[in-house]
Amino acid sequence: MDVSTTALAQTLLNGALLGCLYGCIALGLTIKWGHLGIADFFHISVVLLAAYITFTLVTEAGWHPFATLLVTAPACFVVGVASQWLFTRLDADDTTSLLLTFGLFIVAEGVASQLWSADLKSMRRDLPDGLREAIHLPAPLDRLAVTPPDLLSLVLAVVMVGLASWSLRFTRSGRAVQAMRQDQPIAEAFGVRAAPLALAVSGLAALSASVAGMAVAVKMPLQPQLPLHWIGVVVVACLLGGLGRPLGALVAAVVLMMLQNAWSLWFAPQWASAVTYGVLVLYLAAQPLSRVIRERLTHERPTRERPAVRSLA
Amino acid sequence: MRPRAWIEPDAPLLRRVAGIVVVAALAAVLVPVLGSNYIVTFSFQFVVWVALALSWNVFSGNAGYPSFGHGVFFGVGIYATAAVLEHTDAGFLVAMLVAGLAAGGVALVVGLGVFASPRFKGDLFGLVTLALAFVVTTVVSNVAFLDGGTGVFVREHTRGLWVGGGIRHVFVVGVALAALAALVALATSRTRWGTALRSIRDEEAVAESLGVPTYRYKVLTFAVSGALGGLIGAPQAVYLGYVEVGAVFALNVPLFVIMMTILGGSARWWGPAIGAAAVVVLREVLLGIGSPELSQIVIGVFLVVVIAVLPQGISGAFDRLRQPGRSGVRGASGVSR
Repeated sequence: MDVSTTALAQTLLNGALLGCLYGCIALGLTIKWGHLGIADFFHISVVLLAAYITFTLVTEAGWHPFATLLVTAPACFVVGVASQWLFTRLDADDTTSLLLTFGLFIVAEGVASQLWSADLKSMRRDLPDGLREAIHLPAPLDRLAVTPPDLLSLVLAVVMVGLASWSLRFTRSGRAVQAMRQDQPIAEAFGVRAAPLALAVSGLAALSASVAGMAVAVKMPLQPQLPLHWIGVVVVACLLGGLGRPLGALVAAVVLMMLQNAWSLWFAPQWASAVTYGVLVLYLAAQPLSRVIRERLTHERPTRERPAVRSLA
Repeated sequence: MRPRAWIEPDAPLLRRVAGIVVVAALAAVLVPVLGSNYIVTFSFQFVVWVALALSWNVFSGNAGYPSFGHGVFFGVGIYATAAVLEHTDAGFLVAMLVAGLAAGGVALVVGLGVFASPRFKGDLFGLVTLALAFVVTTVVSNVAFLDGGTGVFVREHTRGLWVGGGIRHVFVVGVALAALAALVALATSRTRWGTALRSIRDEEAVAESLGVPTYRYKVLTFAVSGALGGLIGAPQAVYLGYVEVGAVFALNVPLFVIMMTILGGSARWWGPAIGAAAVVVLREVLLGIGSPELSQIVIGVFLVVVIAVLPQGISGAFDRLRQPGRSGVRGASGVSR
């Protein structure tokens, strides 16, 4: 099939922008997973619940979508802190906390269908004009267009991921979080107060869910099963990008979505969602190979240097 | 040095094997003869869940690698059975064998890849097996030979077969498979195989350094667990009569299986069977509510509460009652009874 350059470019552009939205959703998950050791599916549900609250405030109370953050952001923060408190309180290991988040995930899906019904809910008609009309790119690329919701995802992704990466790397608390991830007892011995820090990180991660939820509500019709559709892309993006690396997850999500969109230009679109899993399968298939290579390498260099803090443990 | 016997035969083991066989035989005879249709149907669902929970525990419980993929193996078994019955003249036994082999094969391939990297344990292993569910769902719903999005009427292809002769026949197959799962579960609690698996759960690096071939054990046991899940899919396909992707690969299946094992506790090999009984009853009660959303909320809350209140499950609590002061057998003993 012949595909024009414009169509291809537009498809890739759309994919990249959709990837930005997934990057926003993945941000909180990769932070909690990488730094707190909890693969929090519930985070994805929080995104949807925040989106539903945004929907209700916009359609019923006539709020501007941005203003809804005044409600959803604090609410999500509290939810994030509370869920982390639950995990700490139960002293849950990896597996148990995964199951707990799964329990909360299906509770959230049930709550969403109970409160907002299983129908598609779109707030497109209630959006302010500025968020509805497509924008054409400037001169040389004027055949391409972006929609304001997509642009919003891009801006939010850049701002949130940038902030998260910057603060993890350059602020004192961010470095404390990294130290805690490498070795909690040692970090605590050096004065990192792990418990409150974990609560704060979890709260902030959930806060990012409120922003992502707003972007979701602006962009697409809502439905209680949406998290099940997101989970694959988001989790694969977190894995490929490296756990705990917001920028990695964003880049991976963008690449995945561009691949997926390009795929549906040439091949049957119902297979498009398999692209993500195909990438994951390739990644897994590469593992035995990398195991062999790694073993070869470690045999040749038995005294490979390891980070000091690891060998202390 | 004389190699140690793989199975150390002892009287209690033989007694337990005999016990499982006798209970299964009695159930296979008495329930269909004495029970009403409702009782037999309920009992069939019960033995299916018992078999699933026990077979999940063979790998995931013993080795400490919680898999979200058991629903996939079950579903692959269901679809393999449907495909064999639909496209060939082969009988039900052949279909069942194909179901077991197909599911075991999928588990083997996944295991070879996943266990090669030490990173994929704990939550990562759970997620990879979860992703497997999405992969298999996409494949099955797009391949016309298996489903192609329309579903398969298994009922039409079992008419002339013995197993198609009603729920009582399906139940007998189910009991036999549950007994098989119980025997394998018993084997993992009494043999070097089981001890090796529990050493992986307790301290994998130490086990490896002491000469336990952890990679081989994990790959093979995962395949055995998956094959058992696939086998039990065969009678389920006949019982359902009509199979379609959304219901067969629903996430409820692995969740229920995991919930059963947590509730029953994996400290004893029979723990998952107790958990299966509790969850099957809960499901039956929830069906009475009539609202799927509400019952979903109840199940999720139930899962969270069970984890919070009974971390060792019912069989763990049973141990604590019998031996106050000991916190269950999950610790470093490496032996389960």
